[in-house]
Amino acid sequence: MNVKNISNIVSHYSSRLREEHLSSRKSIDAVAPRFWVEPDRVLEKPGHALVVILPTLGCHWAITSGGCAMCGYIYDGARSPLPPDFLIKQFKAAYEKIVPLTPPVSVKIFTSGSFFDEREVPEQVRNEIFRIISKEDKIEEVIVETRPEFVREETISNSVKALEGKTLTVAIGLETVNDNIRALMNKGFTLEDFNSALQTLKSLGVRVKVYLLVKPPFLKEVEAVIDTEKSIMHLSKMGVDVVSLNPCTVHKGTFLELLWERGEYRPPWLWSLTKIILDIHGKTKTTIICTPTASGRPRGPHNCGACDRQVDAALRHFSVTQDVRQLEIVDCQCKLEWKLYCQDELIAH
Amino acid sequence: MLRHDGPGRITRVKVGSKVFSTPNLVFNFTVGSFNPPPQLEVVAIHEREALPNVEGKIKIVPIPSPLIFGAEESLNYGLSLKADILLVSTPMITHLRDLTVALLDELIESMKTVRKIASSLPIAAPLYYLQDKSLRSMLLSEMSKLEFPIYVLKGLEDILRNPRVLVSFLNEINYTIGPNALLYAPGKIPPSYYLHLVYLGVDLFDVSAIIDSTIKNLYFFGGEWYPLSSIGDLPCLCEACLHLKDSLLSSEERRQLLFNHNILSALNLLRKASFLIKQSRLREGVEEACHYLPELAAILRISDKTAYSMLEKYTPVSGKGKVYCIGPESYNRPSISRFRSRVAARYTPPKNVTLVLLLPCSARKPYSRSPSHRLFRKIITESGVKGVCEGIVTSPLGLVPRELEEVYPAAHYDVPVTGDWDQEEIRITAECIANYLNKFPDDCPVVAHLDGGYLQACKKAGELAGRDIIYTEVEGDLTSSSSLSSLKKILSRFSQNQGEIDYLKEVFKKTADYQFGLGAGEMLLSESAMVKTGQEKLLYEKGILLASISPSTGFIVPTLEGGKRLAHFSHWVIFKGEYVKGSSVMVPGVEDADPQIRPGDIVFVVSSSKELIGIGEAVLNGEEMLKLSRGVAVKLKFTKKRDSNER
Repeated sequence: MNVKNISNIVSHYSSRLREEHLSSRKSIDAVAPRFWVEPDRVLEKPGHALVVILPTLGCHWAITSGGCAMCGYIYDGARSPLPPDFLIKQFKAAYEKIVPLTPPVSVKIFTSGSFFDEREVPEQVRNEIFRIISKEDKIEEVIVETRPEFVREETISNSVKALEGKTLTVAIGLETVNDNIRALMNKGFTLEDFNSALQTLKSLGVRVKVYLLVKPPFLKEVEAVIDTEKSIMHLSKMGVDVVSLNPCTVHKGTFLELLWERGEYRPPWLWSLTKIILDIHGKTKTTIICTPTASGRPRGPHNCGACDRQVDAALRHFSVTQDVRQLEIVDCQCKLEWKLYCQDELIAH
Repeated sequence: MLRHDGPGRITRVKVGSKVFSTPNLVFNFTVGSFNPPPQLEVVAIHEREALPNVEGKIKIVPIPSPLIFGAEESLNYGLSLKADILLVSTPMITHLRDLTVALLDELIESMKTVRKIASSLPIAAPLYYLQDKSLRSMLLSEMSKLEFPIYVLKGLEDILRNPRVLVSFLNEINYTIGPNALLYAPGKIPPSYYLHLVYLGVDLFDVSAIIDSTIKNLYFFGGEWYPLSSIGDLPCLCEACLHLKDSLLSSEERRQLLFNHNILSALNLLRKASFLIKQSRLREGVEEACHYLPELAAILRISDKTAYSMLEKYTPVSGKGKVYCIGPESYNRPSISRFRSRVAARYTPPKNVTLVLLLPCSARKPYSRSPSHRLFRKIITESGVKGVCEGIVTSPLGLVPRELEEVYPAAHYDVPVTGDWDQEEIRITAECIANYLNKFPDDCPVVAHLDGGYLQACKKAGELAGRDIIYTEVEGDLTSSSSLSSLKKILSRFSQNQGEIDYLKEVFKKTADYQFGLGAGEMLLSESAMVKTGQEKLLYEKGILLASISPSTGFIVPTLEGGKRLAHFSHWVIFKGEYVKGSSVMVPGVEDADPQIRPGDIVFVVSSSKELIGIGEAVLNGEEMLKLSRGVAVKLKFTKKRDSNER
């Protein structure tokens, strides 16, 4: 099937929305460093992660093509490029948080775009950040995100060298192994593009983490579960180390928000995430994690309201421990409503 | 297709070696411990875990959207779940028009592919209610070209509360898709809508609404949902209800019992629909169900007004037993409207009428057997006037010419008699009377022996038709001696008017016109025709039996000899062959059929060389005889044998 016409229309709507919303980006003096510490799985062991959000110019794809149908992270970025010193200063401020932590510790550096895109993070900034990290014994793993087109052999091998033996994990928002579904969200790359990035990363000994979007636009809840389960199995065979399930949330200023406002899209139920994990668990050696954002909110993955926190906690617990017992036990009246919703959405709408 | 009442129908569906009938309920909630009750034969599942629970049932498997997943992958998913029927899912239609246009294009392309590669498995294809009329017609006509056996009416629950939109959508579907496919209305359709939707042509529903309400601990009874906790003694005596109030039940057990009660109650409504269709009483059931909800009354009224031709073409011309017209819902019932419009279009007065007499209806049917009409007719005879043409004023049929008083539904209807007429009844009846009076020459005197609402309607008719009507003086009721003597006095004023009407011959003539179209009576009856009465009325010419009148329907049943005179006029069914064998003509044997034919009509089966070879009763309407791919078209009464002897 050819979904090109549909994805062109999605792209067209996204571009228009970007024009309207990009002016809401902050000026340089208003951007403050954002960082926090969260429990996380660090190289197959429970540990902690320091998460640092660097306020760069933001995702090049979003600026030039309208970007992905569900993503509004670009609006968190800065209005104009930040001077290198400023970025380094921001990182250093966040880095203080490492002090009280006990190992193992990982550092996640997110830019709301691609870490390896030098328009966002200039080479000197990248080298300086990696140099600082390489000096800290507690840190075992560094995680950065990028679109596959910025995975170049030279950049990656320099980064690996700069980290002096610490594990580099590169996370890529593949979202799904299905090219049609990815095209429908105007993602702008194919499974083949991802695969060549994967080969480059693997050959340089870099760990690869893949984000899967659970319930992308145009998919029903049941279809989303089928797609994600299939994607996990496929990625596992491709040799991906970690799969992170990202239940879709409705960002402001996105194509998805247009649908959501009219009741034409509902973010996934948390039950669908527990189902995916329980279905797949034990069938693959790939680490699966799921730490939803905005869970329990109308714009985020949610159940009935009464059980959202409990299920969210069970998912997070699983993500750190890979132990499914809590997910097996957790229950609520609304589980039947979810089943009914799935049937109804699939057949009647 | 087995039987109709309006677009409502009973069908038998064969899927591989399995069979189910419609109207029916699809159990689409095979989750954990909730099993479909044994009475439900069709299930919809999309999860492997559910397979053991649905052993032996007919499985509808919703497959992921082929538009996105690719036709092959979608189909394999269905096959892996041992589907009997594949139900194709599609992306949600959004409010963005350009996106919808692109989606529909892809949808239609993907349906073509699916159809090609799933050759042996029946496919249920999606139909949407789209607000944009041109997109909607495009989707309907493209889907109809692909001739899927089942169509899924997506998003129907969203337009349920908008009767105008709902009726026009179902009307469009009926018009475009035709009678050959089943219609499945999935989703949260409240069971109180079932009779209406079946009547409008929907064949399948599912248990979503019932599950939804059961989860909310609601109990279904008599078309309405009640909180279970608010009910003391349960009004139902089903197996589940016997135990539902046991205090020892766990909440899961209680829910399973509540499920069973609710699902079976909903299924009962569909069984009721089937039963009523068999009894030709579905319409009455629908009228009764109007009282569940104002929307339901609105749906019926709007259907009568805007979808009359869809309702009428599937409504049998006769039914079994009485026809009850209880309230305003009945005024425009298709069988009633059809009577009014046929009298208006096809009735012509006999020759030699000297006077028109308007009389009120009577409780006993046919009217002439009632005590009041015996009295009226005695007065007519005594008055000495000849050539009186009688018209009986009634609601909601309007006006029944005496010659047609035995024709269905004139001899079969019954109404609550209170003497009070509402404005709508008066308007409808006045129009019918006016129309009737206009059929007579301007100088033909009109006498009305009426009171109450009859009189009001008649006075209005006089104004409408611009005719002077002579009213009798009524004191007390119409059969009081002073009223009758007033009638006699007025009639005797016209005793010098001497016409002659052979009433029995007129009955055959007018009935033939009513049944087969204006002019049929003249073709059937020549000057030398003779009528014999006994158990039934028989029409002879030179000793040869031409036709009889069925005592139960009042319709003419011609013999082969009589049929020859009408077969090329109307109600013909052209058979692919020279002789018919057996007791029926099957749909594939029909070459062509008169589109005027309605279920229950007497039809003339003619050979491909245009010779009359059989007479029978239509099971389907003329359009369906051509469009359906299987089923009985005509049940034969007489057939011409090879040696030309009648059976």
